[in-house]
Amino acid sequence: MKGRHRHNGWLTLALEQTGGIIAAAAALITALVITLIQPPPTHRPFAISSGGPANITIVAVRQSNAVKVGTSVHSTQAAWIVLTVRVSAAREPVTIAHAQLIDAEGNTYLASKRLGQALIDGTRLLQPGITLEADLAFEVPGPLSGLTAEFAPTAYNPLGAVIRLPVTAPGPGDEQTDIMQITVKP
Amino acid sequence: MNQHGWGRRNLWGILALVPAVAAFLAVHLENTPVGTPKAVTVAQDGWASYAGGRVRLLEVAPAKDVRDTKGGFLKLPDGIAAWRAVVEYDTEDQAALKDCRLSLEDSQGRLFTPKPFELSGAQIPATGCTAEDATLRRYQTFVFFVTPAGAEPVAVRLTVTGEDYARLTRP
Repeated sequence: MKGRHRHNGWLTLALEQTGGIIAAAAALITALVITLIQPPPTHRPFAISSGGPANITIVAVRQSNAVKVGTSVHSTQAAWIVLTVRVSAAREPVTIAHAQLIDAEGNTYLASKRLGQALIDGTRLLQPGITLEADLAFEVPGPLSGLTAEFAPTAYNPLGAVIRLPVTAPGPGDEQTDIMQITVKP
Repeated sequence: MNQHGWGRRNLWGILALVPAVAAFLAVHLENTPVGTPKAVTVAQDGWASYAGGRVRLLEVAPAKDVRDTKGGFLKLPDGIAAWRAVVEYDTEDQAALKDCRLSLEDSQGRLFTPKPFELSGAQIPATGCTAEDATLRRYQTFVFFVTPAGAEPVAVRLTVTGEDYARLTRP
């Protein structure tokens, strides 16, 4: 063995003696780094603005003190923000089961559950190329700035895509806004 | 020390590799999609061997005579077209098709699910790949879809969980 060490040098000897440990350490460090650079599952959805499972466009933004659905009026001491959206599936049928607003400070506001919002309750299966239009109502603390809207096919899917769209600031608030139910847009 | 083999000398390192590899695989397999299903081969006569039997698409045609629940003709919103597909089965094991899923494919590669919300007020049969009479060997089913007006259906896909799918092109 001495002759072999002389021929191969100290580096080979060191590798022979510690190669397994070095490989294990390298693999551990690699796994640790990969784990650390990936955010936890709850923060993992990736945002897209186009090319996702659904085509979504915000066509209007309104703000009011009350919203009217049919004959029911829902008032608030805060504010309603109502988005008029057009949606269709991109390539395969898809549902929209998650909609939220995010303000400039990172606060999130889910679409209100005070009123039935059939477009985003996860039951309406959107077919490709068939565009639906509807109003989505969000109850928020007051006037907000720097709004972004996010939509997703499921309420919780850490690996899924979140469609993120900028929201223009609503004009001066109205006393009351009528909520438009789902209509088909040719 | 040098009298022992390489494996013996590096035993602890090799053992440490096990959790390292496990952690590595746990992170990556979670994000690795399972194999994509493929279309099975369809014979020249349109029959595809599938789920222990045979299946073929007889027709995809505009469904202009769909009735609503009151007996009148169903009025669809502008821009939407309804389609009726007729699928024929030849099988000795209808149960193998019990949980099948059907979809319509158009010329743009878009997929549509049967009996959609737009047809919720229509008098159409339940969607499925089995017959009411479970003893039948050869039978046909009718499946209804909607597409945007102007879409051109090219195939019906039939999928049974855990298997590839049958892509039955429009005759």
